[in-house]
Amino acid sequence: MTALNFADCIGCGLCVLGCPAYEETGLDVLTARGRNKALQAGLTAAEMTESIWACTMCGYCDAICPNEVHNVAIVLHLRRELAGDGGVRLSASANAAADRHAAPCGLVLGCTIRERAPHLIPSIEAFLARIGRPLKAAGDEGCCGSLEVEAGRAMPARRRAGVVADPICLEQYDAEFLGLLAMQHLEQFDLPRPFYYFAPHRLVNRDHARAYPLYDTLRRRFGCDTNLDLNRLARSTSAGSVQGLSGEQSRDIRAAVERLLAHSRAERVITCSPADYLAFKAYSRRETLFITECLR
Amino acid sequence: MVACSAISRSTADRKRCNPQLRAKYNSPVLLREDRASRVCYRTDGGQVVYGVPDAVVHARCAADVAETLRLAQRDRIPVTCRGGGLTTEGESVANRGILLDLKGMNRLLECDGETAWVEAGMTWHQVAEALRPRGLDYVSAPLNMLSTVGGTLGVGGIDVNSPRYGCAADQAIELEVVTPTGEIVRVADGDDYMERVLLGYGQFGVITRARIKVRPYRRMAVRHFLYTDIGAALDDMMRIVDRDLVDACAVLTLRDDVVALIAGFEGRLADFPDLNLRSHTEPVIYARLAARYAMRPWRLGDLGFLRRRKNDLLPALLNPLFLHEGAVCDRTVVFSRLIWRYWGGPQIVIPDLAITRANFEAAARRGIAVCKRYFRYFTLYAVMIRKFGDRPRYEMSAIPPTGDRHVCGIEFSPLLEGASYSRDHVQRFKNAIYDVGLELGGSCYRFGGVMKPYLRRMFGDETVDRHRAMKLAVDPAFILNPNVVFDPPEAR
Repeated sequence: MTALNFADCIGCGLCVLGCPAYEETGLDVLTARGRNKALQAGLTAAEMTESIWACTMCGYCDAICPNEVHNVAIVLHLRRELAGDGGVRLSASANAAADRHAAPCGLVLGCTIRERAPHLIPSIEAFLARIGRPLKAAGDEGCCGSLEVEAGRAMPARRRAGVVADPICLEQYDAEFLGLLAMQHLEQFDLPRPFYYFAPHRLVNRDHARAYPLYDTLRRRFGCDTNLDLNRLARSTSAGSVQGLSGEQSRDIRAAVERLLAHSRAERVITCSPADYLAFKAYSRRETLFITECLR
Repeated sequence: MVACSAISRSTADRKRCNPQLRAKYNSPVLLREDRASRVCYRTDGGQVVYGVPDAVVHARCAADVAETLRLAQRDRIPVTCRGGGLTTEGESVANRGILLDLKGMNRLLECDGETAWVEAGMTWHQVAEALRPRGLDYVSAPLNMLSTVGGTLGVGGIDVNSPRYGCAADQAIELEVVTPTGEIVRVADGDDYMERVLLGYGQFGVITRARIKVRPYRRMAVRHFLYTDIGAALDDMMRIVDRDLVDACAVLTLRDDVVALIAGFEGRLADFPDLNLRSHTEPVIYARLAARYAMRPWRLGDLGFLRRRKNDLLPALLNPLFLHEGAVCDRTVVFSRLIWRYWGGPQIVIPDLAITRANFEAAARRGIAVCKRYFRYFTLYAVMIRKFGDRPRYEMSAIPPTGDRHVCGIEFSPLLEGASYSRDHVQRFKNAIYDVGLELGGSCYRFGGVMKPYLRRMFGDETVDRHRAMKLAVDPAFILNPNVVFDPPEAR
């Protein structure tokens, strides 16, 4: 079990640099440093609900922490404490989805694609067929339960699958991620320049050694703008989180999109993260494409 | 979420102050007093001093700062400013009154290619991040890129880039400042008030915006040279700096066993000129260490420390993620992360000296002797700082008076390696280091907070009283960062 090592936080503030809650609000108390300092002072979860629910679990703080404080695990633990006390509820749609736990399949699409962007399914299947992984989406895939875990109402469960299309679901599966497969087969895509590529932040920040080099290669090869910052970590829109998807305690996703694109002159945005695809489509005022829509 | 019921512990103050602050801050501009919002500021980078403010104001613009200071001045409520919160002596810790958090003012406002207007709450990392898409970079800033611009200009900002460009405060050419009475003013290079605010330790006003020099972004080649004698390394650093050969230069040691002279410059690694430095190759260093430890076998355990620290340092400096063709791409990130891995810990103890070059080596040697008396493991970090004449801002600051073109700085830090020492022990060590500075006619980087008692011994009563009178003239109620540098009126 991961240690709840908030006492190891030395208050350097590196975690603040990329914290989406901080970027939006400017409030120290909502950052990993703020939470750790409050915990060090003896505050209980009930006294820190705002801070506990502000975290979008983007993983930036864990990746950058010089003292290896497990900030995401600490938030999950505190949310479980709150949930045990009848804490914050998920929205009705997320609850309904969470009730349907079905057997895993070869291709896991995730709720976002299934319910909000089903038009992406043919291109996803076509890409997988093109690279010799002819997987089909199951009709009754069910819910992966990631949001339940994120809300502190369930423990993580690892199941087996072939390919997962949504990085949110990936946390519940031992499987390959569609976006990384795309990065490994860039020759399959026609990526019209100039474009901005939004790399799936959780994956980059939590599985840095594996994921970062692939997105960095894309950046170097195409000279595209990305959400990778000077720390070589990924900034987030907060769309792919329990706040972004449930509508409760939500972050300002429009503002996050505008911040990310502030310096980019790219005409279009491309991503392999379904929730962020929808966020950029809604707020960027630029053409937005899911990576498999760029299939040659 | 926003409420205001206890700005001051005094009920009378509360009655006077709250309705207006409440009226003002019943808006997205935040004044918060919930416990979580306050305790997250309970200590600073040093983690030695603790305190919790009565309320926290999150300023978003100069008008917020002005309003807060006007009301605080009227009602005599202490206001402690905070940016990155990386002071080490409690200077940015408040144990009553308002903590004024300026980090929300973090935008790059304008950039003409040679200068940039930035909000004072920007960290230097944010400055670097915002300038990079324009192909630009800051000129001189502290290694710790989580410091904010305002805080840095207030204390000087001395680091590896200082030999060529001076301290960060010397990069500012125009400021927007809120006076302690709540007036928003613009000052430019040469104005008296600007000279007071720069290196003024937050006593004379709150910097809210600064126009700073910028330069084209370039990668930095980094070379290091190894020594076993601190005097030789310092001497070589002075030669390199005198010839203006590098952008960045510092001496870093592991105890006094291994001394590294680190030089950063634009260009290729091979471009570094042959200067007949007195450094040694790595095998020679190992041989000398072996000889030294053969004579003192009871200290063989120290070799483990040296190996551990080397393994911590070099991979961080040579991380391929941040290298391109052998040059460091993002010095901001590499050095900032390195600092926390190398110096970070549950207690950060970094007494420092600012000294003339004539006393550089003597200060280093005497400081090393002090370190050895108090701790088993320690490190020295020495840099040089370019001076630009005798600007008024240098008086009573980290830049000691000298006619030389450069002054020198040394930090002495115990590397605790998991050991625990009492606060008294740590404080005695700090005092011993500061005593060395006093005896050699130096100053120090940070003389605020709990080190305030050294102020009069270091600069003399006349100078301190004159500066204190200037403080009283602009801050009649003595509310802005009180007790950090000067004694408040009632305490005398």
